[in-house]
Amino acid sequence: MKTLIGKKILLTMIVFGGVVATNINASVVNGTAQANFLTALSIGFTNHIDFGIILPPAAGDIITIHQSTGTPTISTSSGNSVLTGSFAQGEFDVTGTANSTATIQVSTSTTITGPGDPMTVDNFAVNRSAPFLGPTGTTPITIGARLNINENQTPGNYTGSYSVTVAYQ
Amino acid sequence: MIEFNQEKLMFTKKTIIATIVSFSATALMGSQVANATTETGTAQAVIQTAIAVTQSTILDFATILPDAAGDNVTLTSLSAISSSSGNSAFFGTPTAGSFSVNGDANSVVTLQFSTGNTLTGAGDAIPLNNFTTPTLTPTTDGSGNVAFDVGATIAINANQTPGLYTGNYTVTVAYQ
Repeated sequence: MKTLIGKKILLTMIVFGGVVATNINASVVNGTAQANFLTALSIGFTNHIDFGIILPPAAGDIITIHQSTGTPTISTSSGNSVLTGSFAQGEFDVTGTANSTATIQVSTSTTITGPGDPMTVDNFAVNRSAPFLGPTGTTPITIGARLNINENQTPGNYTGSYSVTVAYQ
Repeated sequence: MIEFNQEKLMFTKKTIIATIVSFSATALMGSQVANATTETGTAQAVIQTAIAVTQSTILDFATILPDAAGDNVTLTSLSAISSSSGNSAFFGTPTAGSFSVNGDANSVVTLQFSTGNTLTGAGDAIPLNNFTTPTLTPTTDGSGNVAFDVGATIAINANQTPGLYTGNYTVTVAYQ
């Protein structure tokens, strides 16, 4: 009879032991996950780079439009070119996710073609190479470059293209 | 004579019955003496340390420029991120989730992840699933500690609205 009671007690302990173990032997924890999504970047053309009208010296010249913001400036390395007409920096609007930062890459060089020998345009420079798009998600950038005029450059209108690449930083 | 015989007969029956009872009692007493014994029962209990789990690092897919057609982006438990379409771009520092467990020393625990989780934000909810970790049965060290990293996959919708999306998932850690 004592033995039987003992078995009942042991059995009861085992059952209680199982219940307690179930309550304490597992733990559940919350983890957090997150992801931030960007808007695809776009770039909108606003202005050509325009070197205006140039009367160059026969020896050729190098004409530079500066990329700095504000009133654009133009200069000649020889000082012998006559610069007339309007000139302008290249200008684009970069649009993407608000408060993100983009990076700008511009062609290393290009050529503009017309009635005479092609002329090289190089030294492209951007006023901001990593513009912050701000709360609106849009910001303008301005681009300058250097025009290399050949000797005895044939008069006329010369045009060409260059590329601007934007990417998220 | 007849009555005497009856009484004698009745006496005889009582004697027989009493004798039988007496023998039975004797037999029972003899049985009790012969079966007396002592057994030792064993009782035991194993007291386990309650498992404590804490999140050390959130599961962060960082910044994604998603494929406009939608994409499944997977972040491994080693913090490597990839796109199933190959057309999503990644920025920042994607980081696997990380958890620390404390329990009994040198014990195997099991890990179980929730299902049906989503990240919510400005646009359509993004399913978060396919949790991965190096092993679903890590072993605690001599101090009862073990850490594990967690990766997962998000199913980005087509034309997902930009912005920050967040959500929760649960990890259940139990003794094996």
